[in-house]
Amino acid sequence: MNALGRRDGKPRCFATFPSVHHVLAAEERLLNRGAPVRLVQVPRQLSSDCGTALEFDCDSLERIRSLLARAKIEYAVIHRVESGTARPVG
Amino acid sequence: MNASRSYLDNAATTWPKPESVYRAMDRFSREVGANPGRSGHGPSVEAARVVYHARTAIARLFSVPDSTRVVFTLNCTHALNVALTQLTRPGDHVLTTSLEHNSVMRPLRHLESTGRIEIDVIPVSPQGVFDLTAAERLFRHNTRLVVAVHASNVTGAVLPLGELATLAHAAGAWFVVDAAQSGGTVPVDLTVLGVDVLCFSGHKGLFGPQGTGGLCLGDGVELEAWVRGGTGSRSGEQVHPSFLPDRLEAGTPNTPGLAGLAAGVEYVLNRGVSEIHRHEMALVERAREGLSRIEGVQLVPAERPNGQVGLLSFNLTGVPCSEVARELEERHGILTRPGLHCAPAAHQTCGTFPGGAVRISVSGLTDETAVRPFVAAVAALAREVRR
Repeated sequence: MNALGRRDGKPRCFATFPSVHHVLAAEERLLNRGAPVRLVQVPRQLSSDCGTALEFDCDSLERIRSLLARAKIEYAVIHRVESGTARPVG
Repeated sequence: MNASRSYLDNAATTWPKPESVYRAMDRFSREVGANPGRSGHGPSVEAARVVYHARTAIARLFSVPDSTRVVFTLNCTHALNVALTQLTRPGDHVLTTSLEHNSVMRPLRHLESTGRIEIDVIPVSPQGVFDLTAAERLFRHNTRLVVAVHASNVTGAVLPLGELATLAHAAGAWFVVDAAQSGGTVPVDLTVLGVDVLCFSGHKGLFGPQGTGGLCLGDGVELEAWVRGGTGSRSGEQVHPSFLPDRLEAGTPNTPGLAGLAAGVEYVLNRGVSEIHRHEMALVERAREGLSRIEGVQLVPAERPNGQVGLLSFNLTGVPCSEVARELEERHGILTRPGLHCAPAAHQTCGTFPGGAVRISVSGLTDETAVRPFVAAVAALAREVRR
C-alpha cells in the first residue's frame, strides 16, 4: 500500500519542500510545536523529486501553514489527497 | 599513533577527538551508510538527519540565524578560495592583514597575478594590534573586500574583527574572516561581528575529522554554485537548484565526516567555548612561563598577544627550528611543528622569516600534564646547546 492509499476515506495532506534540509527543519519545528507530522517518501503522484515529504491530517492545514510561515521555512506545495486523488491546496 | 607520545600540534589538526566523534563516525559507517536525502528510505533519511544535525550545530555555534546559509566544503582553505574568488571582480581592490595564512595569501596573490585585483596589506603587529587610522587610509574607492584571519596560527593573536568589519562596511566592502584557529576556542558570532562570510575548519577546534570545513554566509551575500550536479532535490530538472544549501553542495557529501563534525561541535557546545579557551590558555601560559626562564629561548613574539588562542611559537638560539622539533620527537616523543606554518607573511611580521619557529599548540583535550615534560625537554636541549 502506498502513502496515498493509507487511511482510506480520511483526507491526508502532504507538504513537499525545496530540499531535504527544509523537510527536516520543518519536521523539527512542527513536532516541537506539537503539530503531528510524519516524514514519508514523496509519493510519485505528487512530485518527481526523489526525496521526502511531511504527511499530516488536513484538519491541521492552517496551523501548519502558519507555523511554517512564522519559522520562515519555505515549502514547495501542500497537496490534499482524498480517495487517491491529489490536489494542491497551498 | 603511539599513545605515549605527546601531541602538541593541534593547530594543524586536533588529536585526539572526543570519544563521541569516533563513535558517531563508526555508527554512521556501520549502521546507516546510505546517501543523504537521495532516497526516501529510512537509512537515507537518517543520513540526511546526520547532515542536518551538523549544519544546525554549526549554525548554533557561530550564531547563524538561518542554517541553510551554512555550507560544507572540503576544508577552510576551500571555503576561503570560493569566497575570495566569487566576491571579487576585475579591477577590485582588496585589503588583508600582515598575519595571514597562505589559505588567504595564495588565492589573493593568484588573483593579483592575473590582473584581476590589487592588494594592500594592513600592518598588524604580532600581538594582533593595528592602527585604525592607518588602516582606514588604505581603503580606496574600489575596495571591494577585506579579509582577515581571526586568530593567527603563528602567534595565536586574536584580531579585533569588529573594528575591521566596521571599516569594511563603511567602505561598502565585504568582510571575510578566516576562523580556522578560532572556531571552537574563541566565541564567534556572525551577526555581532558583522561578518559577511565566515570560513571555518571542521577538524581543528571543532574536533571533526579531516576533510570537513565550510562557510557561513551573512545576510545579503549570495555565492554561485562552483559545482553542479545531483542534490536529491528537483530531480526532474536539468538546471541546478538556486536555493541554499543545495545550490552550493552538489554530489554526495562527506557524510561520515559530517557525522563526526556534528559530534565534535556538540562536544564544544556542551563543554562551552569559554571553558575550552580557559583550559587551553592555562596550558599555554604554563608553557610560556617555563620557556621564558630558559636561557637561549626566544618567544615569538616576545610580548604576549592581547587575545590569544592555544598556541605558542619559539626558537632556540643557534639551533634551526627543524632540529629542535626533531630532537623533541626523537628523544621525548613530543610532537610540535617547526617551520613557517604555511604563513610566510605572519613570520615576516614576527621577524622569523625565512627561518621559522617551533610551534606548540594545544586543544581542549590536551592533557594538563603535557606541558611540564615539554618545558623540561626544551631546557635539556638548551643546556646541551650551551655546553
